Amino acid sequence: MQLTVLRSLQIKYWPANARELVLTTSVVLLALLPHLPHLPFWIPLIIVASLLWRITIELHAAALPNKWLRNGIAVIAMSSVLRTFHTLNGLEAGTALLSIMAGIKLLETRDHRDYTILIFIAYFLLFAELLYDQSMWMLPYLLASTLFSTATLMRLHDGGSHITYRDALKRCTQMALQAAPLALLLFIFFPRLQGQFWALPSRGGATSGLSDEMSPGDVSQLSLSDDIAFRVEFNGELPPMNQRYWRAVVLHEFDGRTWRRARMGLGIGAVQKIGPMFEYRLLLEPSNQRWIPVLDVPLQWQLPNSIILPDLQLLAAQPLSQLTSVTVQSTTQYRYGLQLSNTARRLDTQLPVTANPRTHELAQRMYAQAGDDVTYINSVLRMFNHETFSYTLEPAKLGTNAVDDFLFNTHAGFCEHYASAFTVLMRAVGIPARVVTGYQGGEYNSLGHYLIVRQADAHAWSEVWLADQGWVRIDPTAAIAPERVNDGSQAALSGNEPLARRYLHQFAWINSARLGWDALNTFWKKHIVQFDSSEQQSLLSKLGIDSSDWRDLGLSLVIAFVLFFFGMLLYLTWKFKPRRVDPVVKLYEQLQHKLKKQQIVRAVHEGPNDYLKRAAIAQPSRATQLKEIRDAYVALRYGLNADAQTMQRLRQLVKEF
Amino acid sequence: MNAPIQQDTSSLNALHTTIVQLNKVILGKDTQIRLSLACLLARGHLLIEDVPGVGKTTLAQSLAHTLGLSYHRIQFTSDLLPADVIGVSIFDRNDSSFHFHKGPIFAQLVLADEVNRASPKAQSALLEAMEEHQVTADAHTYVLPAPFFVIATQNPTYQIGTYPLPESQLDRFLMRIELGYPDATHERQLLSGQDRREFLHTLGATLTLQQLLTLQNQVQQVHVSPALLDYIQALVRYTRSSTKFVAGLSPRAALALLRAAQSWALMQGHIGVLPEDVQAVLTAVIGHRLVPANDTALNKPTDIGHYVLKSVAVP
Repeated sequence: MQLTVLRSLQIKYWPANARELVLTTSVVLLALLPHLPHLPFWIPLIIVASLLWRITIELHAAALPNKWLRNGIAVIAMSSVLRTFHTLNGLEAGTALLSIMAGIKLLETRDHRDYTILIFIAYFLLFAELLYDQSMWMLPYLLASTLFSTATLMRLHDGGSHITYRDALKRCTQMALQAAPLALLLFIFFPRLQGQFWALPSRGGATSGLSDEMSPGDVSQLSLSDDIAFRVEFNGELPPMNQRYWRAVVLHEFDGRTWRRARMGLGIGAVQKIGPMFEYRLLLEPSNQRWIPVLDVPLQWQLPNSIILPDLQLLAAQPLSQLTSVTVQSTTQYRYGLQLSNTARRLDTQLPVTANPRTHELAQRMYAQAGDDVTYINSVLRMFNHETFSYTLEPAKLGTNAVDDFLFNTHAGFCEHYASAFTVLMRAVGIPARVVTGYQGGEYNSLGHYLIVRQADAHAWSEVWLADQGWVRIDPTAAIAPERVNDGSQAALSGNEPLARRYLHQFAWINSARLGWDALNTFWKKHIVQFDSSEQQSLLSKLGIDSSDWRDLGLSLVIAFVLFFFGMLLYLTWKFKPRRVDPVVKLYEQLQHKLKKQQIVRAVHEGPNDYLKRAAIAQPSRATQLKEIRDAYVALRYGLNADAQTMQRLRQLVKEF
Repeated sequence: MNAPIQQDTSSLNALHTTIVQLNKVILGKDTQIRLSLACLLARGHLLIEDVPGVGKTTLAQSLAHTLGLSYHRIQFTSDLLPADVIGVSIFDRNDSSFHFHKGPIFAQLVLADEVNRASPKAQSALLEAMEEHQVTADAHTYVLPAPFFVIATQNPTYQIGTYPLPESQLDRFLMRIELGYPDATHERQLLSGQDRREFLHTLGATLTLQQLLTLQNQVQQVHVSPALLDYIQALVRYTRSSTKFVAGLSPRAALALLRAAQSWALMQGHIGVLPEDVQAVLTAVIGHRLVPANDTALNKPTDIGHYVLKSVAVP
């Protein structure tokens, strides 16, 4: 069977450069592989088509496509990229263009120069991958691919010495190891300038995590995701589990189904701290969103150009397209927003007039029974607790009047249903209320002493404004499912979880392995990827270098390099120094040095006899002296029975000269 | 400075007389004459390559005369057979047995004229004799006289009707020299003077066989210092690593270079071999042993010699 296939391929000849072609192509494919997830689907198709075309050409000894055809394909490829991205610039379009060009370059690759270009493109693609993904597991892949590319390059340029692939790989590894100290030096000392110029280019594309609006089903969708939203490292005590509310987005406007952010400005309210303060460092995964989840409520933070909105949403200047670290101080016991402006009150009591009529009716009835705001709030929470409400990830679909449907028909929902219904019930009786989305809880990693907050921990709750207390957080989910708040999302949802994930949390060793891996990853992110100017400063001060202005750093870098190369120079001089320093040779060199001053320079291939005769002609006055030197030197260096006396004589002659 | 060469100055003096005398016959070719003698003293064979009429044969004949060696000349033609070189067994009717009649190869100095006009078969008969110093005919081995010195002349290989010697056989020649055209002064002298061939017969032997053998032994005793061996190794290493040549010099070539340099040093009266001695014989020794790579501008053996010389530093 196989034989027939082979025969049907009709291999006419085995191409002479097959080995180079195969090696180079595999290098390019290796470099393209990590880009597959973020390339438009048609680009891999074109690359594969080019590859197949090239293979066909090789198998049938056909000619490569001519110049016009190749140019045509290149123009089509370029305009397709332009159509998709509307630019040829930027990370995504640039990578796409580079990938597609690497693919169609196969159609004109024929000599060493082309192979070399392909390998350089491969290098470029490998480094571009770092702009997308700086995770730890990527590093070995990139390193291995780089080694592979370099070895291939070495093979291509072996100058006919036919180095084996194994030797080439060995030598490249050696080179990489030799370069490692330099890389380390650069990593530590290279000045980290702050500013947009040094930042990674921001990427368009999908956002992840919470969005800035909330409809029923949004948060429950998120809780299926195991992706990490951020990690928190506390400087000191951790707040208790039920106080870990990570505030991200505050939603004010409601259309009967969906909650949105406020479109108008609000007055400023001051935060008054009445409990302990927590200081922590957030390590935020890229979300392509501007909001930053902070422990409810934030007091101070260090992030350039960030802003805080009056409803205490912390926003970064740019969407977070890369790993970001922020140090924040928060308090969990506070008083905030005691004065409420009329505009704000109007905004936070606004409800669509026609939507959810039964809810309005229920609210009026319950408020009449309760009499005052606090009693009313408690009775609503009691209602959630006592009646047949249930907490589930898979609630029934809700109709147009989503809140009515939830409160009177389905009685089943996730946190966003409860937060939404609670807020509507408050607003229906004129109590200012709003929905806050963010995260609640987080898994403590005892190996790395930090908290992991996943998308699965996404949460929604309410805030109500009370005349004497300002804005107060009320979490209606705590009323229906207190374990959600006390023990985390996993505890609350264990019944709904897929089987595999449930086992994952049950076995202790799997759990600790998981946490260990995450600790390692966090270390990588915090100390390698996020090695910014402040990290650099703290490391340098540990090393005893206190001043770390970037100019000083640059200077010390230069000095370190000079020292390194000087050291290398010394080592190499020592290594290639002739082992036995012949005093005769030394004297001859001294003489040459002296003659050099008289413009009589020995050509490298000139023997002593010719040279010194020439010198004698050039300087007739010293001809006899030079002849004597010549005889002595020749006797000592090339003769048989040179004695110490001749040596003495030569030394004297050269000295006198 | 009592180097061994000073021990027997008589043979050395005789050698210098020889050089003077040869210079009277072959005008203006002092270097080539010295190289030929150096080649002979180093017990190597000599290849002279040049266009016809520049005095190749005259040089060979004068060498034979002045050195007092028995001399045969073989004119190589395309129909020359190995038997014409080595000799042949002839049936003798008197005692009803075969007797080997020695061919022209049995002489102390053999001039193989226009060696590249003969077929490879005849060429190899000569070249084998050169290497082994003996010939084999009818399962009988005959030792060639000592000293045994072959001077082969050949026309430039681009000429019609030539069978170029393969590299492996060129290697058998210690040196390869070119005579070249004489300069104007010497050519005038040549034109106005008497016939060179006749002048040749008036020359007597200036070197006895004993002196020649002594000199040959002395060559091997010329001191070679480690510094000089470094230089020779550097030269050889260079030809092996350079991309200008198809292949580098063999150890045999290195040895040949050393012998030739020793011989030259002896003639110059140096106390040991100097780098200059190596350089003097370099072109003659390596010019025909290196094949330049295709894309180099090194076409002639002299270019090759100069190129290698300039490229390697004297340690």
